[in-house]
Amino acid sequence: MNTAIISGLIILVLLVIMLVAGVPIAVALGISSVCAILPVMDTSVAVLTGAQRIFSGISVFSLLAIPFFILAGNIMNKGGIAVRLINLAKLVTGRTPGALAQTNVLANMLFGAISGSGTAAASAMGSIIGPIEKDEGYDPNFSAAANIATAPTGLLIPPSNVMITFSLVSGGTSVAALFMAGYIPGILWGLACMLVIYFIAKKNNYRSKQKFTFKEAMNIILQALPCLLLIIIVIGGIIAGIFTATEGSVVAVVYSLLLSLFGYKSIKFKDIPKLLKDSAEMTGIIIFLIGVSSIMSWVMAFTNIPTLVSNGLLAISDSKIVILLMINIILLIVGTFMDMTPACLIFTPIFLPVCTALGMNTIHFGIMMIFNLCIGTITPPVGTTLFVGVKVGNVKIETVFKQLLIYFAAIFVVLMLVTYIPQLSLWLPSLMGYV
Amino acid sequence: MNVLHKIREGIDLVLSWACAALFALMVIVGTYQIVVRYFFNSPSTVSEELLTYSFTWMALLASAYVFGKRDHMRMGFIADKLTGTPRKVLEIIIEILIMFLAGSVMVYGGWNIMGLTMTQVTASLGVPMGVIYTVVPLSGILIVIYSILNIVDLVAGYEREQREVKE
Amino acid sequence: GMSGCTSSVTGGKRIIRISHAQSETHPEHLGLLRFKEYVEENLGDKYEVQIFPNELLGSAQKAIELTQTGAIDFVVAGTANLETFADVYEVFSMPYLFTSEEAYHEVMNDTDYMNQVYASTDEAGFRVLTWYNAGTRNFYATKPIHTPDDLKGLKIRVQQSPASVNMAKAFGAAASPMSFGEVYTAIQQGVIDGAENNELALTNNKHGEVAKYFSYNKHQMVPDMLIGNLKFLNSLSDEEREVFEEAARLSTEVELEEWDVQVEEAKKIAKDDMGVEFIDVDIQQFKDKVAGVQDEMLKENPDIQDLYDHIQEINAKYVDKEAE
Ligand code: NA
Ligand code: NA
Repeated sequence: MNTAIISGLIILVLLVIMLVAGVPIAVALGISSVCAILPVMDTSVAVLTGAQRIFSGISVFSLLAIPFFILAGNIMNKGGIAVRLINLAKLVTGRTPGALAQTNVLANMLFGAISGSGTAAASAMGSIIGPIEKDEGYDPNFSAAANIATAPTGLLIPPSNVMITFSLVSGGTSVAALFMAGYIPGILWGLACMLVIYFIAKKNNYRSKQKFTFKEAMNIILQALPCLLLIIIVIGGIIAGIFTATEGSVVAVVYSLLLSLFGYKSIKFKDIPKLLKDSAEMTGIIIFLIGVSSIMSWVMAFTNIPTLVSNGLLAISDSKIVILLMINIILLIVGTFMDMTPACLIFTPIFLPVCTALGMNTIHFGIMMIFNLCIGTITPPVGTTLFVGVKVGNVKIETVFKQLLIYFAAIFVVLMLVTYIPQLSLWLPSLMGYV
Repeated sequence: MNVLHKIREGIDLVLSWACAALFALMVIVGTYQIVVRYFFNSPSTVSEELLTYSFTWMALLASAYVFGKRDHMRMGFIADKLTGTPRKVLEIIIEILIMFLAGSVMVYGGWNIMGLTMTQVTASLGVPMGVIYTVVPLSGILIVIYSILNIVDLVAGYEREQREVKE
Repeated sequence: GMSGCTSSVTGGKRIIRISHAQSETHPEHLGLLRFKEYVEENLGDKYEVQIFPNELLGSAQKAIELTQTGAIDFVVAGTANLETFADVYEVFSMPYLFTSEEAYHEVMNDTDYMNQVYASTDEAGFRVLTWYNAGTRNFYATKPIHTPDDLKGLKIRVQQSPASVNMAKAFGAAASPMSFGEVYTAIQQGVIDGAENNELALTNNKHGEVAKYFSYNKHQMVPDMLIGNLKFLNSLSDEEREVFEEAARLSTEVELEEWDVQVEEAKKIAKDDMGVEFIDVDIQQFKDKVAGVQDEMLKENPDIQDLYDHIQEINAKYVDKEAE
């Protein structure tokens, strides 16, 4: 039998058994991945490779945004910055059903757009808005699901590192054109989720009961001004080129710490170690998972599992509609087990020629694939953004997953639109003369 | 028993302070990196590497700490429904699997990659790569110790009653 | 133990895995395809060669580690990655080491001499088989650079090594070490003003979309190296070893030809489609700026003296030729 088949079966069987039995996800991923390369590699080389993959999966500069935004979120909650921001949001959104969750979506789209990281958006927004939603009587699973479902939008709304990766591996598609092409699909994703939130929130009557007097309203605005300045500084600083998006997370920590320590005096120096320890714990859980997931991505690449899967499925039909559907399904399945960047690197050379032969534009293909892989970041068992959202939302994967299903349905509808209506991706780039 | 609890408390204390210290260092170095590049126009040559590796150490040590608390993400739909002895047996098997991963990949594999990279130095700090890799076997050993302590607790029934399977 | 006998056998064939960092249209990939073709033509019953592009199996440094253990059999890596295993490779990071492209090619193609250098990583468990041209490195930025004075105060991305930082500083730039993947957005957002690389970075990595001025100051010619797991190489019979070495030589031949073709194409695309301006500069002014760097490096690392002298001899040959 082909080694890819053997390795694939080992991963699938071991992973499912261990996950169902309640083995920590990271441990299940690690054991099944290492076992999958044992048939083709000496045991000592396999475990060494595993150790190296964990380490190199973690020692990535852009991942620093995760601990820093978690820490900033914890400081903002403890220091009363979050409350002030949310009061302002409540004032602005009024009695719209699910106003806070809607705010979360908009914030994810805006923040993700700027930071270019789904995990950073999920950790920043989830840890700030989540607790306030709980106080307002929202089910934490509802809040977490809304946060998780929309965190990846920032990977479609530019700038986006995965588009740069795609540009390279597709043999030189314009990055600027890809950036333009991502706007409409990314915004449609967000809007679809806002619609879902609207209906769920209306059903559960998640709406603010408060009415504010003029004096209260003025007070809320005044109180929120220094907090708004945080957003202006972080976003403005990134746009002005003072710091990179990753560095922006450090600025968020420093600003919120200074404001809480000296402005609101809501945090004392002796509180800082506990804030650091709590944030470190959350970071440890998320980052360990990310490190171990990279063993699985490596094993998949090494054993050629993705090629096997796609060859099998693509052989089924030669109709354009069916092939595109097949490609979507393959990407969804494999994206479930694999991180975005390696999946993008592996699948572009396999599928791009197939699609261009069918007359598909490379930019359109890229957006379709990235959209698809974005979904993969929020599906278990390997979903970095999902892990972050679950952790900062303080919920369980299995319960939040039930709530996520309806979002997946909405996002899938948008995916189909993006797949079969090229104009959604190509209209903006064509206005700029890229197509 | 008491001795074992003392050991656990000791490791907990050292680990949590080590993580807090590394985290604080990250905030300071991150701020420094922005300030010297933008305001003094003399970009730091070591800060990005220092940040990345402090972060790696912090994250791996923190993940060991979380294994001690049995707080890593998992799906609880079966484990949650079990009680009594079957639950205890399942939890012990899980601890053994954790030990298996930590012992083989992190301790043994990590030790070997350390040995392999002791002569290699990092690009800007100039520290032997093997020294930086030390955190892999180190956290592996800590995870194994925690797993042993957890198993002892489970067997002795020290596990807090009705403790929920945490996510 | 940690051996090269990680026989990944399918259908009786041993799979040879080669890792590299470039895309599938890059000259190095095309060169490696020739390698694969030649090995399978001659030893197809025993070996199947699989090429993994785009750092799929890890960044160069990590892939070297995996080559040391035998998890991967071959990897293409820059000389900067080899410096930490054998410091003779530091010589290549000297600015203006080669005074002409002809001298550069002659040194690298002198297999008899280079084999002594290539054996210097044997202790680490791998051996260089051949070299690939990675072109000439130049500065490119959002502002035109005509003289070293124009570099003053510009934040230029360099590779994350002390040698690269020192060189950029000697030129008068503010050296900003950063991972290559972040360069596009960093230039776009103004975090840095430019970078230094060959022409392909403008088109393959699209840096030409954000940096419109490419100055031919030609500060470095740094080769990439194809390295192989030593235990695997030593396990081959003499005839097999010869096939692999010939395959490596052929891959370099293809790579060099492709390189020249692609650089020409890249210049055309950058100029016509991206609006990049190529600036010819007085190279001597730039050379003067870094005149002290070579001496300093020689003083600090005596291991490079031999190779350095050898290169200078060949440099002199071509300078004389030009004078004629
Ligand atoms: Na973005
Ligand atoms: Na997934």
